[in-house]
Amino acid sequence: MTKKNTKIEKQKPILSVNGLKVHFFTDEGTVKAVEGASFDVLAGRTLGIVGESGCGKSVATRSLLRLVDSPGKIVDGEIIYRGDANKKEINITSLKTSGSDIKSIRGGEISLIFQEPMTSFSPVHTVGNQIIEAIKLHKKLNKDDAKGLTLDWFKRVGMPDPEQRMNQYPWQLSGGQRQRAMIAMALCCDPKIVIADEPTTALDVTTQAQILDLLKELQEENGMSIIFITHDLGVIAEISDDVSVMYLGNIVESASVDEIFHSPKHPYTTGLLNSIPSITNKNRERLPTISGSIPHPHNRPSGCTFRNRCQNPSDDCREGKIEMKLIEVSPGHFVDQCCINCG
Amino acid sequence: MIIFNLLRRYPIIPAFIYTVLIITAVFAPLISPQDPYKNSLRDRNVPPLGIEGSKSEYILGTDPIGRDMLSRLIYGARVSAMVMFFSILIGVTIGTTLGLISGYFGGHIDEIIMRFVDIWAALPFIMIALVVVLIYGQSFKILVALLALMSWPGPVRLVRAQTLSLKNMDYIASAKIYGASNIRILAKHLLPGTWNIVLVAATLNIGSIILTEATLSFLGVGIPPPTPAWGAMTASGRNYLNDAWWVAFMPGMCIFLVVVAGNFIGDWLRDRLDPSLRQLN
Repeated sequence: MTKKNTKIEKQKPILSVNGLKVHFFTDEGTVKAVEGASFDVLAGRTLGIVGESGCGKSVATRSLLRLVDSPGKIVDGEIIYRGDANKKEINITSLKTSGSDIKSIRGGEISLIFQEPMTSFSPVHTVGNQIIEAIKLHKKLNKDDAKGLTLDWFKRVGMPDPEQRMNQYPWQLSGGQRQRAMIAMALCCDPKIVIADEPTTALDVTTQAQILDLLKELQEENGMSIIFITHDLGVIAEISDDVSVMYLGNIVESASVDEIFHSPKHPYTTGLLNSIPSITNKNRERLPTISGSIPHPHNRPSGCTFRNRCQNPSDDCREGKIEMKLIEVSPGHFVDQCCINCG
Repeated sequence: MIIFNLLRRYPIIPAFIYTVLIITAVFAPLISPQDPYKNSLRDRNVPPLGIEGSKSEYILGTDPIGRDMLSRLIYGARVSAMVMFFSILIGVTIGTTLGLISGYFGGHIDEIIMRFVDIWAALPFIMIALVVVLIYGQSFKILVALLALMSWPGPVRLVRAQTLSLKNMDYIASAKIYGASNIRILAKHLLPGTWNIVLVAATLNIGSIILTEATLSFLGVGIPPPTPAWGAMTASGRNYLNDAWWVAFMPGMCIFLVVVAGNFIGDWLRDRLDPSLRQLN
């Protein structure tokens, strides 16, 4: 992959998330799915968000579109969107969930590629029709133009027999084809940011590589930013420019992809990297693991959320006295202040 | 053997019964051999053909005031089919709409609708029907309205359950992203996904609708006389069971056949439309 100018310029990020908190108010108690996550998305670059299942990756990114349904609620934080240099900033958290403001952002400015391509298309309409409808709603085109544009997009995403596929139902397409159609649908309205929520997890490895290549190719053509959510560090290394590591609702480390892989600071990041099986490792050793398990979101530890799994926490940290806060350790490399020295 | 397998696999006999019901209902005036309202007191309680004392013009005999049983049954099929069709159409439409709304919006709306359904299902329906007829009088429209009001809670529960499982699918989120309104999502993405449930619910409702219609007619609050209705005909025969059993038996048999056929078709549809229940291929 050709890394785009790894130097981080002083340009303002297209999307800034500051201290986002999303809580789910259930009968059993409040689940703090996202608890103060902050990250920036730079124009034309790919941000990888990595973390294990249940750490809040999907909830955090769905809040960007205000798609978190009741009982989930954004309780704090702001999401600043700067789609157009001339227009003023939009704070997405202050928009109504069903107003025309958020509707103009959804799909048109920020769109989403889903993980499971089987359920992301309605089974009762043809794939083509669903994309045509999306285009008609967003671009105010008539049916024929929308159809032409859909066909164009089907060709651009490398769909075999695009004319025929347009008139088929989702179940008549293979997994890879459905994901290509999903990408066409996500990109057809020229969004500035595309959220890819584990788009390759449900695919086999060959198809996965094709889809990643396709995304990179389209990014170079269109210049959109991508937020790529995954728990696969290999995929992150392949596609991302910047990486944010998420743990229990917080971003614990955030840096360029080279920094993360070559000088990780947070013990969680180190742990994740150490637990990747290596092809060169000949002796039959057990893979290192991160001791303990994730605390249940109902009872998060106070202070540093990682302290009960950390190998060498400081005394203050062990007692939960240190608040979580990202600080910059080297240009563009942010780590949770508590854990700078324990990795 | 082939015939046995076919009968096992497809509801051929129930389908045949329904075809006959619909054809007789539609073409009643052409098919019926006599005027169902014409009475002749000289031909009271004539037995059906094959029993001593029968007359060739009355194939299934006559009732206590000498009206042709067969003609009345044929016209009764028309009444039953119409009652069935309209009350299920109305009931299922109301039920599906409320089920979709309840499942999709959730929260307070869901709570209110579902508690209302619970309350409704606990109402003593026959008593209410008696009171309503007492106040507004007997008519076809009132009967249909009553039956529709009886039948809507079932579909609400079924459709709500289906909506709850469908609304978390990614394609609903996807539709929201691309700006689809709630009404559009309900009508174009959720409703088609509940069709199978609605169809099964409607078919399985046929039995209870016809039985209730018969019960109401039997109690004298159904279709106003002299319109032939199977329930009322059964009722009118109950005093003559000793000397003219056919007067109650013929319409009772018709009710029985239609209800059984409806249940069989409903079960078959459920097996066909729900892949997890499919046993034979």
